[in-house]
Amino acid sequence: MILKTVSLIKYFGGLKAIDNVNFALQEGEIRSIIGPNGAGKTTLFNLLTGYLKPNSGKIFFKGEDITDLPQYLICRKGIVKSFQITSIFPKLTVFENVRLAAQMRKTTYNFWKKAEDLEDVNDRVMQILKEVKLTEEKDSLAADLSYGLSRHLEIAISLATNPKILLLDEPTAGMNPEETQNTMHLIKKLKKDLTIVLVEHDMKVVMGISDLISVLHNGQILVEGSPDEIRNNKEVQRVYLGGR
Amino acid sequence: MFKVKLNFFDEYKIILIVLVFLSCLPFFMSTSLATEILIFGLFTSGFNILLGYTGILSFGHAAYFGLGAYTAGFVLKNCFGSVWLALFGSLVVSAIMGIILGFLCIKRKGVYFAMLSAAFANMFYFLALSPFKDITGGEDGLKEIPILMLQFPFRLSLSKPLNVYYFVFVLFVISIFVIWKIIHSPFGKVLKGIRENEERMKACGYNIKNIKIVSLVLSALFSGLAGGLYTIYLDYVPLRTFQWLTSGRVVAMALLGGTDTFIGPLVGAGIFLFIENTVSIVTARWEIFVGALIVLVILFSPGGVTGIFKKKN
Repeated sequence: MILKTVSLIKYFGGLKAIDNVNFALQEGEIRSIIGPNGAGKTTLFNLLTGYLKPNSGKIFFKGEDITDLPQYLICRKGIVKSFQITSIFPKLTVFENVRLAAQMRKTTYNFWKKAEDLEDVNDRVMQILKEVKLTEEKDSLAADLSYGLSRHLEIAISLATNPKILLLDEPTAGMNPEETQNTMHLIKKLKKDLTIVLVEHDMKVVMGISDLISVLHNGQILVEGSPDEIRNNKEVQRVYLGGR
Repeated sequence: MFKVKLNFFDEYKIILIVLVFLSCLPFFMSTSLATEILIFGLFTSGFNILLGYTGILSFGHAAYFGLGAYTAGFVLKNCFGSVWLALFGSLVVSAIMGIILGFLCIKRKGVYFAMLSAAFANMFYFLALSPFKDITGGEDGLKEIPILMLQFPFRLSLSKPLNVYYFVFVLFVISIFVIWKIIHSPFGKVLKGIRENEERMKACGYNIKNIKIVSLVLSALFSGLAGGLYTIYLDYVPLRTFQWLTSGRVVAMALLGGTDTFIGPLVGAGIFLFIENTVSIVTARWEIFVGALIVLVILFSPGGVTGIFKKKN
C-alpha cells in the first residue's frame, strides 16, 4: 500500500468537508475519485499533498506518517498534484515551465552556473515534453498554448518533479472529445511508472482507464469498487450517476 | 514606441556599452555625481534582486544601506582606517540583518511585508538618532573618519575624488557581474518562478520561505556594500542613510528605470540623480520633476524607461 489515510477529518468553519475518510491506494493502480460537486474531492487532494492540514486523522505514505509535513516536503517525497484550474508560468516558455519543475530535484542554491547548462535537467525536460507531445511548442510562451495543450503542460510540470503518486484534478475538464482521447492516452501511458489518482466528471474517462473507483459524497467514501461494480451500484446511481 | 527583442547576446552587449559609458562618466559630469550614480546604481540593483526578480517589495532597504554605511564608518574610525575591513564589515552586518529580518518578516505578503520592512528601517533610524548617539553621532552623523588611504593591492589616496570614483567603479563592476551570475543561475530562475507563480513553485517542492530569505540576504548584501562605499565617498556617515526617504528613493529609482531588465536599476539611478543634480541648480523643487517623470513612466510604460525598449511578453 503506497498511500493510506486513517480517519481523516477536515472542517472549514462549521462545514465538515472530509468526514472520517479511510482511503487506501495500491502502488501502480489508476484510481478515480468521483462524486457530485462539493463532495470533497479537491479537498482530499489538498490534504494528501499537504496544502491543507487535517483537523484530525493521519496520512501514511509507504508506511511513513506524513500528516504534519509541509507541502514542499511531501512533494519531494513524491506526492504531487496538478491543478484543477491550470496553474502554469504564462510568461515563460513551455520548456522553461517544465525545466523549473525538473530543476527542483537537482539544485536550488546554485548561484554560479548558467541555468541552461544543467544538461541532465534539460534532457529530462525533453523526455517529458516528448511524453506529453509538447516538443514542437517548447519555445512558445506558455500563455500562447491552446487550452488542451496547456492542460498537458500542467501535467508535464507535475511529472517533472519525479513523483511516485500523481494526483490529477479534472485533467480533461473543458476538453473536446479529441483532446480528451489524447489525455486518456497520456494517462494510460504514465501508469507504468506511477500511481495515479484522478478526480474526474467525464464518466467515459473514468470507466475507460480506472482500475478502481472511489465515490465521494458529503465528505465520506460512499463505496469503492471496479468500474462495473460502481456503474451498477444503486446508491451511486441515486447520488451521482442517475442525475446526470 | 519601438520594441526590440533582446536575446542573451544583445543584453550582454548593452551591459558592456553601459559599463564603458560609466567608466568615462567623470568626463561628462562632476565626479561626485558620477560616484553617486555608481553607488546608488549598485544599491538599486541589489534592491531589484528582491523586487524585480523575486517579486517582493521592501520599503525598508535603508536599513541595509544605513547599516553598511555606519559599519564601514565605525570600522574606519576604530580599525586604522582599513578600507577592505570596513567594506567586509558592511557586507557581514547587512547580511546578518537580512537573515534576522528575513526570518521575522518574510512570511508576510505584499503590503504587509512592505510596512514591516519600513517599520524596521525606521527603528534603526531612531536607534541611531538617540539611544546609540554616542556610537553613531546622532543627528550629526558619524564624523571624524580618518583620511582614507587604500593600502592593498597598491597605495591609493582615497581623498582624491577621481581615485574614489575609480575605486568604487571597480567594486561596482565586480558586484554587477556577481548579480548577473546570480540572476542567470539556477537560483535566479527559481526566484523568477516564485515571482511568476509562487503557489506552483511550492507545489513543485521548493521551500519558498527559505528561498525568499536567501533572496533578501543577497539583496541586503549589495545594499550594505553600497552603503559602505557611500561612507568612503563622503568620508562621513549622515543619519539620512537610515531615513525612510532613502528607502523611498531606491524604490523610485527601480520603478523609474524598470524592474524587468538588468540595466533598469542603473538607468533609474542615473536619471534620478541626474535630474536631482541639474534641476536643483534651478529650483529647490526638483522633486516635482522626478515625481512627475515617475508618474508618467508608471502610466505609459510600467516597465520603466528600459521597458520602452524591451519586447513586451
